[in-house]
Amino acid sequence: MTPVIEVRDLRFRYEDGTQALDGVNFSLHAGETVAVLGANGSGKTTFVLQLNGILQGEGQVIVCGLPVNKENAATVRSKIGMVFQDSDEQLFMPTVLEDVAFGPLNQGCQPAEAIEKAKRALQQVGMEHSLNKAPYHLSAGEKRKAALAGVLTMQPEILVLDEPTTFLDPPAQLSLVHLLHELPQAKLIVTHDTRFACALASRAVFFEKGKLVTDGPIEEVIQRYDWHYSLLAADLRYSAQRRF
Amino acid sequence: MHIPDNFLSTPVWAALDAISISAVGLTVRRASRDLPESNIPLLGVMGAFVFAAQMINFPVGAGTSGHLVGGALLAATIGPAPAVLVMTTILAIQAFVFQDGGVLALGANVFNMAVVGVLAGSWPFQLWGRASTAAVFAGGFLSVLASGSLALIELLISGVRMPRLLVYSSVGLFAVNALIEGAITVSVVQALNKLNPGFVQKPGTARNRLLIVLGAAGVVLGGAGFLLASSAPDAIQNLGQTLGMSAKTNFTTPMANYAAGNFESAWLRRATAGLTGLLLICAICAAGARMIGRRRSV
Amino acid sequence: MHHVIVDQWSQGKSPLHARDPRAKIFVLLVFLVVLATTTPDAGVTLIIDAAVLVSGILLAGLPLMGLLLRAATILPFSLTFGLITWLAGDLWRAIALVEKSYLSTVAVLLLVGTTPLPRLLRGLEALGTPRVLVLLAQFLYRYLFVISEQAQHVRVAAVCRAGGSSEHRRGRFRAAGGALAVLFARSYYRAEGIYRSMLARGFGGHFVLLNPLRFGALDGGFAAALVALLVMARIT
Repeated sequence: MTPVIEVRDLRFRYEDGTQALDGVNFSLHAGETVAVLGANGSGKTTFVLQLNGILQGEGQVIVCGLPVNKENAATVRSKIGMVFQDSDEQLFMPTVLEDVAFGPLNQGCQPAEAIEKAKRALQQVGMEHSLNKAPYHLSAGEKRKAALAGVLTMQPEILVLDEPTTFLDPPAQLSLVHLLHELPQAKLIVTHDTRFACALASRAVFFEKGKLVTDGPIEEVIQRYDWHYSLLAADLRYSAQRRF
Repeated sequence: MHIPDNFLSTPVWAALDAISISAVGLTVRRASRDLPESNIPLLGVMGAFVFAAQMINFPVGAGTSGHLVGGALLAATIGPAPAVLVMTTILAIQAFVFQDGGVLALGANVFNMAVVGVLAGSWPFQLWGRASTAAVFAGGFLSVLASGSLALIELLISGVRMPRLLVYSSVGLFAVNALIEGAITVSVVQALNKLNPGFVQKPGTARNRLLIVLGAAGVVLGGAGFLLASSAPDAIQNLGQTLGMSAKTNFTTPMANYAAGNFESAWLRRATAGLTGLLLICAICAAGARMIGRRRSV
Repeated sequence: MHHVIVDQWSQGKSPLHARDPRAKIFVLLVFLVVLATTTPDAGVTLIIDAAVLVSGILLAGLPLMGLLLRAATILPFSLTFGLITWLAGDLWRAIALVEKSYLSTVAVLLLVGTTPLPRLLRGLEALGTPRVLVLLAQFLYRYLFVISEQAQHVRVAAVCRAGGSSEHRRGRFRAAGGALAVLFARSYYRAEGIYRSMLARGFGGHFVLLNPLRFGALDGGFAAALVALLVMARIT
């Protein structure tokens, strides 16, 4: 089966010279959920921004059989739905309904159809009562769901979520896990939260300084790299003798 | 400095509404050509920033503090034309949501702060050719001085009774606020340069003759306003009496009254000439902007 | 904060809230012009205008005392000028100045208290306001709350670090400038994030907006009746 995402030898350098991605190879198959792990600045977010053409590096990025470039940008962006880390940056319209309808309207739907699609997506995430609310009035969890609805309404084949548990309390995280579990799309989840990753992903990749250094079953990857950033492993336990 | 409703006489607020609508309309047309719609979120967010920034206190001594107005800062970072639009939007939201400034008087406030204030504020920057501290300071200073003085003139012409003492203290207050604005703008621009030099526009690249002319006009308007207010407030009030005190003459044009009026003092004639001249400069600039704008699109 | 309260009021439900924003804007403008052109001695006109406003507030279900108190922010300014005008010998003009400026403020507050700002902006656009300005205002308002909160935090942080003595005034001044620069930078990067979200959802260079405004017979009747009342009160 052809992968829905195929990345070969991806390299990207920022304007100030930092090599953010250094020869990344990756593939994602339909229905798979993969966790993207790694420290801050290791290239995770830069990597996902290459997938829908927001950033363009060197190498090959193929989404659903289409190379990612300017000509295919519109099509690729309806195949990949991206939920960003900061929901306030994603919910930029005055009301939830208008924001969720943004995608379909850009895809060329008529206003009435866009509104219908938006309502259905909001129902899917359990936010159908918040149609006319301003984003300012929503909680962090509700904002995340509304952002997800805004992406689902474009009927993508792949979902990318960048640190989706940021600002969410445990109940909201649980709610998100249940919601994502039901969705059939292939998912790429960038996260620091290993428990969240384990709850959803079967496979994980680990980024380090712009290179993808590990790709395998999630338990293995986490076990292998947990010592990198696990606080327990860092042994910060207080004791009467070792108080700072 | 935000003029509320029912302070300006009808000829004054109506004329300024008309002038502002044309000035802002012209700017919108320019901006639609040079700025893609994708820039609008940035401008909106910058507007929210200025709004929020007006809440931050800058200690100036003796327990008082000043606040940023923002016209010059916006001009130096996002450019003069976008700055006009952003300031207009800020003033409109202040008028409607915060009732800070009148709705009918919005034209006057937009003219003072969003048009003249921004143009005068960007002028030193455009002229100097580089982002020197002096240019930035002068921008902030001229921006607030011009808008404050014009507001005062408009109130006086409308016949708002202001004893000399109040006029002089207002003029003094505007001068002090202008100095504060200059200092704050410099402080923020310097801090911005340290964070990311790209935030501050390089005037050399965005420099164009039109902006320098318009900016100069703004400075002249504001400066003349300042001088008139500080030296001849009575003359302006007398002028106002001829123009628009009683409700019955509200819907006649100011010019009709000039012809009919008895000008006893030479001062009054001079003040009249000064004001007419200012309005003419404004009209010429607006026409000039339109002509230059058309030529550029060819 | 003021805009938070007004925003809450505007989310209410009442016959006045339900009216098309274009009708309400039009009526407001007529009201303001009528008020502005009312001569100082026309006391009855002013009473009728005030009555219209009070009935509006009650019909909209807004807190009467709360709204009247919020409008009182204009009073320091207008009372000062009123006092000066009175001392200059023109009592009627002074009273009219204070009354009229207060009523204007109440009228504007009534409009925004019964119309959520995004809807008001749709109305303004439908009445001819350039799209650029409407979109600008929409984004400004959307992020006003968020960035104001950030500004509060930045302000508190600056105060916590302030020296207090006048020798440190220059330092505090510079710190405030730095705080503003940080706020600027955060706002700028936020705008970049917004742009990326727009791109990710297929933004093609032009905002396509929903236009849910529908001007009905009720709106027409409302506008016509009020305009007639106000103009009659002014003329007679």
